[in-house]
Amino acid sequence: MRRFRFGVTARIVAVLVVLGVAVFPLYWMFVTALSSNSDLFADQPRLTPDLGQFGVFVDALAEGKAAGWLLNSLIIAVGTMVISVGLGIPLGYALSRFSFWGKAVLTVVLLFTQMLPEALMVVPLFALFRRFELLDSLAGLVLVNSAFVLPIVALILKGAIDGIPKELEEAARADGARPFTTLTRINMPLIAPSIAATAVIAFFHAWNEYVFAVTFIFNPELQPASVGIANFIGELGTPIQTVMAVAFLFTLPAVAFYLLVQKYVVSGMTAGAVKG
Amino acid sequence: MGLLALLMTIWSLRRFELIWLMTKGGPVGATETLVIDLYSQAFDSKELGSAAAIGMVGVVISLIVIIGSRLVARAVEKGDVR
Repeated sequence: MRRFRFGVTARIVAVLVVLGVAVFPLYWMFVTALSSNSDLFADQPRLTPDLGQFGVFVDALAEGKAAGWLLNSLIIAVGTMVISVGLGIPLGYALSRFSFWGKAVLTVVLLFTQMLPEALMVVPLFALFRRFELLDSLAGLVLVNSAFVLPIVALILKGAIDGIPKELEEAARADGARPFTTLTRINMPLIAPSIAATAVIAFFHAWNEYVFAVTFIFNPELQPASVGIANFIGELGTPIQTVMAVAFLFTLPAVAFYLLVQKYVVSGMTAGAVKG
Repeated sequence: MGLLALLMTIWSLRRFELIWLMTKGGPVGATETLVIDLYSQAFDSKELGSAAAIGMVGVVISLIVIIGSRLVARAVEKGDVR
């Protein structure tokens, strides 16, 4: 009996520790944003937010640039999500159900591209984008982010479709459904959790993406928030409160979106068990 | 364990943002990695040729690690290694 209790207590403590490690930086960001200059450099760090400083958030948004950055990030993230999931569903279906020439090679190549460092691709992509006049445009960023997240999306969805019994599709075919109808009417409802999971993955990949955004975008008006926040860090001085306020605003929508779909994500991830 | 080690290796090879934003590979190259060197060659020194050469080396290194990880993953699936 005592051992059982000890186990429960230990587990609660462990959960609290992990939660603290995960949540504390977010809280610290919030507190730092709401600190006065003297608090920032005081001997005793301030542990509770000074709500009287709430104007930082208003200032950060009113200054104009931050809101634009967040909007750019949102456009890129949603665009990437739509394209990569829209293409990933048929691709995953084809990889799972059809046999065609080069399928094994294609699957392995998809895995490889997922593992190559993205920064290696910056130089060739830069040359390519200059030729196609995709530099300095949000559409270019959507394309490149989609290209990098599509393999993960397709492989997760392939795994999910692998888990659906073939008999269901055979029944649909017996009723006269074509492959495309089978995909949209039979398979997609069944793998909805995995689709949600891949949507989250694609969204966050593009939302957090920095390398391509900082390289391919020159116009400050088109910068996403990840680049904008980093540019605050200056040689002469860094407006710490503003950085933290914008960073907090940058984190919030992402957390909100994740909470909205998180109940699907866990089951979706394990259903599409991709190894590697 | 083996698989985890290889995955960590791959993720470390990929790591860019954190290093670039904190130190840009400095002071005097003390925190420089392959991808950081590539990026600063390409976009600070404008030496696209040598950046491409570094990129090729990077691809080869990554391929070796990736193939290694596939071999280990296959062994794990068979149950030879844990």
